[in-house]
Amino acid sequence: MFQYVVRRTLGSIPTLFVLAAITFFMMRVAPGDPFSGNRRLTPEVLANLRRAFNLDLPLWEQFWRYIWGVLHFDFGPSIKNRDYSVSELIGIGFPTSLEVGMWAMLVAAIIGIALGIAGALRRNTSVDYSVGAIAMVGLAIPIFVIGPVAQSYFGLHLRWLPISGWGDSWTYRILPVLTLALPNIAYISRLMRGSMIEIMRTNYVRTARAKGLGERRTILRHALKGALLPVVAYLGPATAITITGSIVVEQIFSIPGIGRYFVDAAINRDYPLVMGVTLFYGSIVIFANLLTDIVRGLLDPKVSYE
Amino acid sequence: MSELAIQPGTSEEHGVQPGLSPFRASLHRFRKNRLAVLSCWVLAIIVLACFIGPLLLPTEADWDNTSAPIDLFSAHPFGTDDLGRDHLIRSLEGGRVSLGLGFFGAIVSVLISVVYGATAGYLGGWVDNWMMRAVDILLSVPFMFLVILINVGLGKSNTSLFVAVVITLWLTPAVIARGQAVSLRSREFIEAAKAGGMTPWQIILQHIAPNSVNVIIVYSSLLVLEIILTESFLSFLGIGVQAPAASWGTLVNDGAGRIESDLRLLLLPGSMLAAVLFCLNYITDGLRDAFDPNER
Amino acid sequence: MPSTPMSGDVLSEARATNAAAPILSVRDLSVRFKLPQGAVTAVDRVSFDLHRGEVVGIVGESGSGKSQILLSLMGLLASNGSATGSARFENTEILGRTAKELDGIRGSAMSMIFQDPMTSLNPYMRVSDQLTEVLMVHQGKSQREALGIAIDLLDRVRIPEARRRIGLYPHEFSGGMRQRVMIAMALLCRPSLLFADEPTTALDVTVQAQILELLGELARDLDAAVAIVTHDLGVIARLCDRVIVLYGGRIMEQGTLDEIFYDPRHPYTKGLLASTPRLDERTHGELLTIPGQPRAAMGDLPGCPFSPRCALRTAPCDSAMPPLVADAGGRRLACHNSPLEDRRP
Repeated sequence: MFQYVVRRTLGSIPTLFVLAAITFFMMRVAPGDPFSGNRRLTPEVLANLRRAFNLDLPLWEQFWRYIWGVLHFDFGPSIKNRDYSVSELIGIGFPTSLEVGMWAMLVAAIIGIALGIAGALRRNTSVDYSVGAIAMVGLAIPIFVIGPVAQSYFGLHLRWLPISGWGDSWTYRILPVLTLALPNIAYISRLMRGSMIEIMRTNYVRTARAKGLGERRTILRHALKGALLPVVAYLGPATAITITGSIVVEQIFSIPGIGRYFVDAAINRDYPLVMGVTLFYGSIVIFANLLTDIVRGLLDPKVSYE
Repeated sequence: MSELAIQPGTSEEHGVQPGLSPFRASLHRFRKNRLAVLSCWVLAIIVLACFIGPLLLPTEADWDNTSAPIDLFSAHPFGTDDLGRDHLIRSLEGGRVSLGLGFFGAIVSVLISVVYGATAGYLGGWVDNWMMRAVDILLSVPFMFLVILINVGLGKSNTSLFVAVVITLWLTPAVIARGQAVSLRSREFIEAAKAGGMTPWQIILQHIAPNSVNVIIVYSSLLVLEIILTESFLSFLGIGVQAPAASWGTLVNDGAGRIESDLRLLLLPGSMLAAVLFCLNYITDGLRDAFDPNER
Repeated sequence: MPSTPMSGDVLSEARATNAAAPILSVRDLSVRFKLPQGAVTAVDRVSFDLHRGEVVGIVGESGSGKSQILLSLMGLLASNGSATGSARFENTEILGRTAKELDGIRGSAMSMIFQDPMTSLNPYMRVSDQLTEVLMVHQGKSQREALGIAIDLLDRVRIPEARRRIGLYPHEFSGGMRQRVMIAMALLCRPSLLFADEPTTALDVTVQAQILELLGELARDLDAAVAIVTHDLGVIARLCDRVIVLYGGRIMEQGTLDEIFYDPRHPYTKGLLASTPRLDERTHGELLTIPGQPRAAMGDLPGCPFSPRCALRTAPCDSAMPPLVADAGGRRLACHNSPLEDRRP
């Protein structure tokens, strides 16, 4: 088990390296740099600025300096936010992003699993069709449409919830979390419904019924575990979807998380920040995939860590 | 469980005439899926409206009618914005960009992925190993970040957006196409082609790639969906389609910024985008059931 | 044309040899399935009794509806299936009960061993949990008590190192060992009625004999009534006291083991025996087969379901199902052309 974790962790290093390389070269190969658009700068100032950010060094040397820094959790200074390093900006934004993201994942898991079970157990009834309809809405309406519509309805029209912003009150969390959870609610409920239907047809669920355990115990003790496996396996992709979605949700609801820096950085070509955030989120997704495999192994006795 | 619960129906009972190729049989199954067929029609109507509509209607701003309200019997049935631009026409034009990018991007992605996957799968060995390892590494990166990186790196133009989307989204279908090629590699007709003196390249293009079509067809529809979604996502954030061009994503973004004054700016392009995505979802589900019954 | 169903009087008279009241008495049991192509009758007005201490074999080819009899009695029919008729277990009607009502007796007084031990045990639960939960649910035993009983029972079904192995998962057992676990699971609450659906079909030939022997021994010890469904006459010969021969969802013939094996009357029974290799009869140079295929729509057509394949077929066979008649000894036969009275001296 320990060996497996170590091996998988080591295995993710090449991926992260390639990611860093793509990130770096993609941003540098591109024509122009963050200062080239600014016409007010004199050539001397420009040269100084470029030197300050090591933009005058040969490309490969910039790359090694960057990798060396990354190994020390130093992603360099942000170009647009002069007073902050990239690591500091991530440190400021991440707690908020994490809070929204974790809640969204949790809500998606609970609602998605519950809907999926309900659909599977009441197959081909109005319950099942409603679950299917909710899933279809979650799949087909992008969160950047749902988000503003929800803002306008619950915030402006009904005035139940704050339209945007981030305060201490839990009311600020509801709309962003639900919006961010919606696509995953859709995916998870579909996955759960399918796997639950499959499991309820297995011979071992029939055995549990033959044992007279009662429907409740049959479902909770015998069917649920097997049916949850595909959902657990989805944890990695769900993390990626949540992170991606958080960029938009933070933008819509003006939440001071990483996503907003990232968008600004992408628009303003703030290389170090874009690379830092990509690497940071990339490692989270890789870590989530690793965690997924470990949890799957704990749930499924047939998986061995060989 | 019982010998009775499942009785394999004969082909006639499923309304399939004997002698149909598997492809035609799948097509037939698809046509029986009413929701998917309806979605095809709706999608076709939206596509036609987006591509032909702006040609027939006046597209220049109507300065005499700024901020016109919804009036189905006026020159501007869905009203105009504060610059006198017709809401409906703006949305149709935005749709043309989104749909065009979606369909064209999907075609290019599929071509790349089929050729790449078929090559890796057919050649096998270390070539396959390295080609697929590259794909695996790229797949482990959240793809939206890749798209953003490539798009920003290439200069945030509409061309770079297209390139970024295509470069990122061919990966998964390539994995599928490779799997198909691996299973085809040892089949007799490939042996026959080899014996007949065809080069590997000819075999890949003429035998392997066309035989992956069933699996790829399902994925193509998903690709259109993903590309439209990705493009509008980026455009919403301001790092996708750049002004003066507009897509549904940029229009939704404009609308989202003005929900307090005029909700139509959000709802019209938003619901058109949602309608297209609904259709594509149902079509994808229908294609999957018809062409790949083992899935799900 | 419907046949005259067996009346209860004839049956109880027929079983006069067995003084005690039957523990399970099935009357006119029919099982139907709704399919997209229409309804199909899998079991057609089947009646029989089971007594304590006896092992009854239900034999028939696949599709003859034999498994559905057991599943319907356990309340485990697929959702598109329904059962009609009556089945009284210890004088209580068990047919048409809800799952909730049946749960009081399923797994305790009445239990079932399934065909495929590979898939019938829950792969995600330890064997210990799968065994103890039966005792905890039905008898309110504590985890500790239940574990003790379960280990004892695993010893009885001859699983070596039961104390250690009980903590393993099903995939860590071999096929034969898993079927032993299934048997132990069915016997935990000392049932008075035990069903076994092809209990050895999925196992290696060498293991089959051991499992059958074990099953027979345990059933005798419990003094339970056992119904075993199989297509394998070898299983029947080894284990059963009485045999019910099923074809197309109907009872064709019923009798003691000796009657069926040494004096088969029904053309189908004869064909079945002739197509089974036997060590004691070296006279046949080759195995015979029954020509033709089972009818597709079982029981929905008039006449005897076996008639299309029957060598003795006459005109009435196609129009009317022959009645199931019984003799004084309890033997039963449904055939227009084979007399029951004409017994061997």
